[in-house]
Amino acid sequence: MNGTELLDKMELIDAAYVESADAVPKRQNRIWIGWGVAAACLCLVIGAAVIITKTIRPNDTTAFFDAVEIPDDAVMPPVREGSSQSETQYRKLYNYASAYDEADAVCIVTVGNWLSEFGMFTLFDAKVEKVYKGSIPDKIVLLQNENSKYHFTSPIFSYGNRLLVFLNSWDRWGENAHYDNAYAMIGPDYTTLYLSYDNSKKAYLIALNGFAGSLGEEAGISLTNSRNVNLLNELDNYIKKTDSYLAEQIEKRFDEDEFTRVRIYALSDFEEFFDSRN
Amino acid sequence: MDDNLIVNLYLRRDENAIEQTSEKYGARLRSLAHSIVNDRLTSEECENDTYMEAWKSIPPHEPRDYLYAFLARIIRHIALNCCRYNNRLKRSAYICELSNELEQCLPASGGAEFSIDDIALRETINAFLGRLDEEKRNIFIRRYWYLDSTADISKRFSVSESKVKTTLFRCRNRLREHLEREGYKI
Repeated sequence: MNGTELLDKMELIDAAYVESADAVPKRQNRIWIGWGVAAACLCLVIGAAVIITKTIRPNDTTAFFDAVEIPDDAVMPPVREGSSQSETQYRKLYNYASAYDEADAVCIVTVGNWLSEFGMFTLFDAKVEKVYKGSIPDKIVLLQNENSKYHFTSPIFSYGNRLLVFLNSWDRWGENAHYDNAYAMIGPDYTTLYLSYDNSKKAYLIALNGFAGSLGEEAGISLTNSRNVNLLNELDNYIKKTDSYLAEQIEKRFDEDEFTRVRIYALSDFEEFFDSRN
Repeated sequence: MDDNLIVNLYLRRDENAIEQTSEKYGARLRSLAHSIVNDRLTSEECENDTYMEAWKSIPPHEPRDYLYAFLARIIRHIALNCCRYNNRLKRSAYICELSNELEQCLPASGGAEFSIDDIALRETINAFLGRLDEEKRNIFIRRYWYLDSTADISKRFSVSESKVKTTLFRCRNRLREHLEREGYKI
């Protein structure tokens, strides 16, 4: 027997072990085990702080979403970035106002299982959580304009990502694939906004693309101070609960230059803007 | 649909079995094949070949309790062969790298061929894996069953890449010792 044959023979590994290795790993917080007592005290302090903060800030407009529990059989994308970074020429540059006007639907979605790739797209199941414009089914197939070959701005989505998206219905399938209730993002990738929360459960939207600042400015939506590192850390910690890779990408763009730095909006500012367009 | 019912469809030679299998496990299988062949079209071909192979294998097999693992084993085999024989994929170097790593697990043969039948090897490998703690076992399986890169494994388990490499190195040494202890040294 040689190494090649042994690699083949690894298929003899028990099915239970194979399934177990495919399950989404539980987050390991070993450091906390040794600090149990301190953590318990900290919980009391945080609990008190949350109660106080809620009293001080009663005007949160958006329901808090708990971080998504990722099931063992969730289908995660095989890779998070395309193998080559691509530049693209957009046919039209949208801002959030024109994206809103041209969208069939504007909503918050939670990304589910990875489904496949189709052309330039990666396809995901997605659950619609909150609709701001249009009529859209509760469960859709979301087309992201990135794939394992070509990488633009965002990482390839993963189970549990929550996004504010501007969507148009998609039905341009070839012979090899067809999914009902499919929607593609307008922009297509640079309008993506990740939903996150600070420690007081106030909702924010994070744009990975630096020029998202001007997309909001053109639409008259104010940016939150994107240099507020404490706030960035709080938002990043919420993302980390479901997607440590995305959190890492966001963190990398805390201190980058003006063009590539992350941008932050309060969701309530977007909601006011949506109300004004209706 | 429940796995038991899907297997019943295969046993009744009902073509709906493939549709149900695809609906329940298609994405996971494509994802698995994609991570091995790194090519969308090929991973879809692997998926279709897997259904064909499952159709031929059930019966006599009746994987009621392990349908996904059964299909995953088939698609792994098909995807590995694609990597070896389809030069366009440019994956043969990667497969060679993995084979060379596993070569280190084999006891010194002294020139004679080291051979072992599948039943004995299955018991040996699974006994070895049973003695590893869960994290090490999963890292080993991700590398040599799912063929993940060390970078992907480090992201998956939120550990450093150097820790993954060290774990794999130690696991290979332990597998080698295990095989020697089991009397496979020639």
